[in-house]
Amino acid sequence: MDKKYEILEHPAELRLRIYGKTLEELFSNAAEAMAQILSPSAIKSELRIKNLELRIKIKSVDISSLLVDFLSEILAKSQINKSVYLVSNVNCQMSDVKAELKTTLIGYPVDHFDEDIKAVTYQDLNIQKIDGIWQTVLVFDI
Amino acid sequence: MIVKKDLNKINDFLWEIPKNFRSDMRVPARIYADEKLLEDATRDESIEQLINLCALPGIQKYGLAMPDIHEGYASPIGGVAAISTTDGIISPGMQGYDINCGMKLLRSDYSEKELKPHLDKLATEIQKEVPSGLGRGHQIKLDIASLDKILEGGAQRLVEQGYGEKEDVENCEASGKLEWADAATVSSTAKSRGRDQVGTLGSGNHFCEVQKVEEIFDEEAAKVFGLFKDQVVIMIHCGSRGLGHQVATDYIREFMRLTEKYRIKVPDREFACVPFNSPEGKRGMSASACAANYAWANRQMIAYYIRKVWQNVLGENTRPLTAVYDVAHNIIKLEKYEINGKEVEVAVHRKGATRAFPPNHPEIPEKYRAVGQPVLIPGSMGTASYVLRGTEEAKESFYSTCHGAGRTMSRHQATRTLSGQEIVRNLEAKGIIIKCYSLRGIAEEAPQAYKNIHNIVDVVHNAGLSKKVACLTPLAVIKGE
Repeated sequence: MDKKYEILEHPAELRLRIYGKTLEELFSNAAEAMAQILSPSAIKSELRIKNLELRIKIKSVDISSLLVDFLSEILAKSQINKSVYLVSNVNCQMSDVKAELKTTLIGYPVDHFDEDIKAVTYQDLNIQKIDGIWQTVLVFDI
Repeated sequence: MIVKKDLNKINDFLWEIPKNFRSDMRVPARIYADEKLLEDATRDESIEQLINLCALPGIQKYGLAMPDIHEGYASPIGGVAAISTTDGIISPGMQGYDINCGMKLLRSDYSEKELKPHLDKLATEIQKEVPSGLGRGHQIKLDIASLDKILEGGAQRLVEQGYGEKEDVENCEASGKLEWADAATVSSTAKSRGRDQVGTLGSGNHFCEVQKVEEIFDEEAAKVFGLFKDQVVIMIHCGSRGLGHQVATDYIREFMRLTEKYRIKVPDREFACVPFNSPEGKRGMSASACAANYAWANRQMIAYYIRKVWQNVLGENTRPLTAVYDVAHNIIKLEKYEINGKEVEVAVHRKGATRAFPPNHPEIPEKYRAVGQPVLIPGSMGTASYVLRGTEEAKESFYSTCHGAGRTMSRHQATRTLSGQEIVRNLEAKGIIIKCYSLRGIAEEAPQAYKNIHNIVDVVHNAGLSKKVACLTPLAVIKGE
């Protein structure tokens, strides 16, 4: 399974299904999906101009909240820094009482966004492993 | 999946799912719709979401849905929940992330015929002058102290600084400012997102439109609102931008972590809530008010830019634009109602629903009290918008009415099946000027992606939620990026 994500139907918002061979890859692909929606041209390889690299750490109560908090952090930085971000070196640590993630954000500057993602929602979020592939539905408020 | 037989017909425009339909419902669910709109509502998850809303602690009388109901997240779009402030909760997710997304209407003294020679230039200059988002149009970047004053002062703050008229504040829901806003309850991340977005339009279904009054239904109310046939008016649709989105994100996240502390179970985690009277609830209410004030300031600033363009294009001696009204359609408001013989204060959570106060209500401008509060309902791009007035009959809906046409098609399907270029051509063939940066955005907002606004407004009128005053049709549409 090489598919990173696919867009599903939703009358008002943007609904996707995200895939990954590992949890880390799921998170990385979710970030890439968001970057593609915000500005596909910014991360095209021929136009790539690396901006800033930021190391971030996110702590949440469970894995679903971790994904929302992770993407929300990136979304806020995208708007504040006028950039879109891919991630590398994602490291997830899960236990019964906490969920943590560390990663490096690689920024690509933009002069406009193709889509105005208002927020990352919790709707339909259900991270699970099916047939050896991690996946979840993810809904952005746009 | 809910089917039509699960609903009891109260009358031709009102349906109910009884409280015993599901064990966690605290009140019945009511949907204002005709048969066709009800059928549409059964095709997505909107009625299930309405039933979830009925489980919120402290909800009074009914969970309500307006005729433009469609699937959202947590609440359906078009959802209304009046929640007791004494023993109920506050739910930021219930109002949506775009806090105080809403409408502002400006009226002119001119007819379409008088303005026609200047229309294209007006539209071009409005697109240049009103910043639509990142990097388009001039933008103001505020220091935090100035931003805090806007968060607490709303539209009133901008008018005090010379960016508007006294009437802008008089003719605005809540006079453009919620008093319980405290800027200290808004995160630094939210402020960083909002610092350079005051006076920006945003994208998606946000717009400015130059319109004309196509038809008058209620001569008396139209006269009171200052409207006449063929008059040129300007409508603005936008919200609290990144600041509001971040406030909602912050408090939904915080409240989600407090379910253990307060032992509140909700059927959808996006309804994350705390007791209204808790310290966290008060902070959440205050932060939401800051975001609401920011949105009113935003629409006020856009009105300022439009007035500048108006004068530049039409000349110094041009008669100015006057505010008709400004309404929110995603917001939590404190209101009082008689429930079971007692006066009860409720936090009315409206998501994709507009307040519509009746005649003689003390919270509407004195000059409008004879006829009721103006209600501003935008249609889909290129179709029509409406001005209505509030009615006493709408007491049953906590004086709430619809907010727009409601989507029927996903954005993804719209961009796959419709051509932005063709839509622009069709609108231009009807004589409507379109100014946009993105044809993909035009496809997403195609009229075919929305319900029929005339049908929605007819149901609203016949159900008594509000009454038609005037129909407005577009002359020029200016979209954000």
